[in-house]
Amino acid sequence: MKNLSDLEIIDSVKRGNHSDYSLLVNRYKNKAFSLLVRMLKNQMEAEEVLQDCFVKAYNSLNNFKQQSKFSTWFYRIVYNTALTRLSIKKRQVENEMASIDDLYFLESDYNPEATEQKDTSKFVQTMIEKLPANYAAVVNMFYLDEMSCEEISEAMQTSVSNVKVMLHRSRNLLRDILVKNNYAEEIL
Amino acid sequence: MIPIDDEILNQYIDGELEPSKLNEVMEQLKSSEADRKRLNYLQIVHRELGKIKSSETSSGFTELVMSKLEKKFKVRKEDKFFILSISSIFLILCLGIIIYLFINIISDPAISSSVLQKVDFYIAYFTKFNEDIKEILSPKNISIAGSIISFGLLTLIYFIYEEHKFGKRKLGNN
Repeated sequence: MKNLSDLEIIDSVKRGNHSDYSLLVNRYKNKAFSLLVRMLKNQMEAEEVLQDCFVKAYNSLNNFKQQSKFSTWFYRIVYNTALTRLSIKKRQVENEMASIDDLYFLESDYNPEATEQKDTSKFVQTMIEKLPANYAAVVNMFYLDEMSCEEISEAMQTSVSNVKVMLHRSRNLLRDILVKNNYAEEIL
Repeated sequence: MIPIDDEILNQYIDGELEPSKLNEVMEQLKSSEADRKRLNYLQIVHRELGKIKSSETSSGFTELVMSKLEKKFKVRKEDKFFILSISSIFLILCLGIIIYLFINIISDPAISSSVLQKVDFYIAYFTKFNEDIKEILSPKNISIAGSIISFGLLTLIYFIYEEHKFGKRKLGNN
């Protein structure tokens, strides 16, 4: 059963084998959870939202036209639900959708002295979690979920060029912070 | 010599540069130590981002989602059962009324059961049925019938609303 494709599982669920949906939940829960944690910056809230997303996806399975991958369709639900949650909470909405100039607040947000050892991976992980929601979402989908820019643009309902801009800006920003904190020098 | 900005470096990393531009950029990188350094830094970020790990949901997450869905199915089934039972009652009532009218017509002495009068029987049947309907729909009866139907509908709506509220509450608690 575990080797079934997403579409085969969906067909099975539609035929009435509701319990097969757990295969999809198991397949996507951790990756979607990572995306939500990075967007919402709160583990408990992320898990709560993720539950809602899986219920929403289940209820909308009949609307899934199989024109795109299930993962892309599901990430769209996750991304939109996270944005709705963010807007409800009115949590720094302006910052979340800010221009790149505003992203440099992150540079002052990280205290290298707080970290005893210079662990670049840890540092990068920490900095991603501090990225604004939409930038964190792009980075997460591109690197963790290995989605193409086209798939990300579909999930986020934005243009491919916009996705690329967000990805490049995130990289540039992380590089600047890395250099500023002498992480890059050590690796080089 | 072309100026290499961050955008070009990012495109270089993603392998999106056109062959002609790629050659130019590579030449430039060979000759410029500063540009090479910038590229290296960006490649470090790219590499480190590739190592990011996924977070894990708490144990029992899948079971929690499935139990949420299971409860939803249950509520839906209950809803279906409720609507089905109300519709059945309504149908039985309608059927009862029709049977009652039919028996009334059959037991009428004016209607003979002889074969020759079969046609008359059907005509009489429909005429009587028509008259009964007319009587039911008379101004006096229509208000009574309207009241009964309104009462029935209101009761039905109330039960559906209550059932829906109960179902929602049940889902909310879970």
